[in-house]
Amino acid sequence: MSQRVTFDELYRRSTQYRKWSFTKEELLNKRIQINSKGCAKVDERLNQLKDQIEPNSIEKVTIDEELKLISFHSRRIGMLAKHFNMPSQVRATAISFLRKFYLVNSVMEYHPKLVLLTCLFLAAKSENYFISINSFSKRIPKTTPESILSLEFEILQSLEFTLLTHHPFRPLYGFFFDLQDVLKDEMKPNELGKIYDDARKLIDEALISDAVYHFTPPQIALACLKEINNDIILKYLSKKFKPNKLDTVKEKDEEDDDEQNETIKPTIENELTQSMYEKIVATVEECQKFIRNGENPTKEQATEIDRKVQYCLNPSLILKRKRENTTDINGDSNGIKKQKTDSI
Amino acid sequence: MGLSAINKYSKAKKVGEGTYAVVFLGKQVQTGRDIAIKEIKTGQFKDGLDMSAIREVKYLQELMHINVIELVDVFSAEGNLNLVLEFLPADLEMIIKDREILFSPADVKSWLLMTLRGVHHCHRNFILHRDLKPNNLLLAPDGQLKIADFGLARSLGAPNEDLTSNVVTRWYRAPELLFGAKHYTEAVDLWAIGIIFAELMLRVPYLPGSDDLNQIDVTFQALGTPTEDNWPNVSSLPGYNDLKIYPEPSRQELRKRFIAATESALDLMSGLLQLNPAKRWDTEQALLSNYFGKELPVPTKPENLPKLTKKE
Repeated sequence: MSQRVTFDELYRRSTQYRKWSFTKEELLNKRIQINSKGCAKVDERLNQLKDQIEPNSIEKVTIDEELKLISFHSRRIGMLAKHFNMPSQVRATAISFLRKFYLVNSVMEYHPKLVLLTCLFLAAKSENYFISINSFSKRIPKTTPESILSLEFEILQSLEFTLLTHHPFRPLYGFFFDLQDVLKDEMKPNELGKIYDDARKLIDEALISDAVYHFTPPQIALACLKEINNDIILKYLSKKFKPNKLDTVKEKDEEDDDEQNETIKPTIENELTQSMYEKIVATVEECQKFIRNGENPTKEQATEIDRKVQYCLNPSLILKRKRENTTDINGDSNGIKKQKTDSI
Repeated sequence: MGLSAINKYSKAKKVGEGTYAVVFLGKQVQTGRDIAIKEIKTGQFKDGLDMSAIREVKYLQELMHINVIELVDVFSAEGNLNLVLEFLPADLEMIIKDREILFSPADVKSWLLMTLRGVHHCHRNFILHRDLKPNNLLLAPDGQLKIADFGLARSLGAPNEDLTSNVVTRWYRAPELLFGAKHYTEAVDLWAIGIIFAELMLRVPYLPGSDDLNQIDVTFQALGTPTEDNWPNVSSLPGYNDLKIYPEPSRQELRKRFIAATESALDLMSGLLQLNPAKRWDTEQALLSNYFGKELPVPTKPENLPKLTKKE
């Protein structure tokens, strides 16, 4: 059985690891690149209107603003998925699609409010929760089946046709069972149930954070649990990895008898598990920081960024606004007149 | 960079047209490697890209194993989605039906071993195939067997999620599916492998039901009707009613039906064809069984396996 591929190796073969896991530097570079690609697109559009618009009359969106807007719309996916009563798997996959899409494209190229709808529709299909485009579109105001479907291929291409996404829900469920087993003498099941429920809610935050690009789903699940109850999880990890009881050491000895020299083994074993324990705790704590630091812009902030994006995507809006201002002064626009009377 | 995706491959001839795709044979220009291109028509579906296509791409992107068909590339051209797959000229159904080929027990063992290895890899990745049958077990020119057609595949469900029982081609459908179970596991794939094993030994389909109702009858007549005794709670499944109760076949009866089978072969087949999915063998049990381990003959090397006598 020595050739057996470990689960860790299997994960390393997944597209999630091969294509969608990054170091912090890689992620930052990607975002810098995408933002400047987006800015270049805006310049192109402005160039086409150069006779009518001053090039610097349009304010471009910064990397930070892009992130805020994407995070805002990721949260909207959550709400929309609940509206459709979709399982968490669909919600999580849709959020992951949207965020990956913006690791390839800028909000100055595609507005997230449209992309998110297609992501949700596509995620529902990919997660076996099919809903027809007509009934999907019918329940979302101001959309048509065509407007949603038109972006589907664009999204698939940006995702490089990799659709399988591993989320932290399954590992969290696994930890829940293992926690019950390891801590059975110290905890009541309903105490653990509460921790599990709260951690599950926290996963939604994790999905919107950059933790998903730097950590594996089990690490994220553990980080969510530890964020909810630090002491319990430290106790759990130390029970699993620190052989402080004599009988645990003994058991391990018997298992590995043929592999190592018995006389020196206990110390090595101790050191190994001690360093493993420390490594896991450090990794999980690093992951917790990411979960805590996820973007959560206010509606006002998002609206402000959204306004900028609208102009970036369609600079001629400025002309329209100018025209409207002019008609406003001339007073021959009914709508504006009415508004004025109303306000008086 | 060199060639754009569409110029990387040449399409030589159209070999098939299905409901959602056209298949072409061609070559990878740079290497001269034979490939098949499955061109998925995207425009004509009311609900966007078809679910089967989504499943196929989704799972093949993840599975890399010598016994699973290789997805060489994915690209889009003229609004169509193109899956570039390795070229596999034959399938196990064609071999079974080719009357001029004689199978040795070592050949059967070899095909079964490759099938189980491929499915084991899927299951370790939490992927159920849900449509295993000889027609979906393709054969490479070097004799390697490759599991193909992931259009019905899915990830193993969340604990409370409902699954559709309307999967797997009828003759290879496990009893829990025949009963319309909404929760099932990898075991559905193992049943199908058991039926394929029987078919390899008999050279004819083992349980060819003529419709869904008849499939239930044919299946239980051959293998016994499940009862609360051998499968607790089976009677609460939606389709469990008005059943004729057949006894489970004795070992002697199985020996008579499968004359050439050794005792370990029968052990393995019975393990795969356990009515109760909880008792059915998994891929690991099957791969570690005596049939593959202790018993001779050793499986035929893939390159020495019989090939089709007739070329199309």
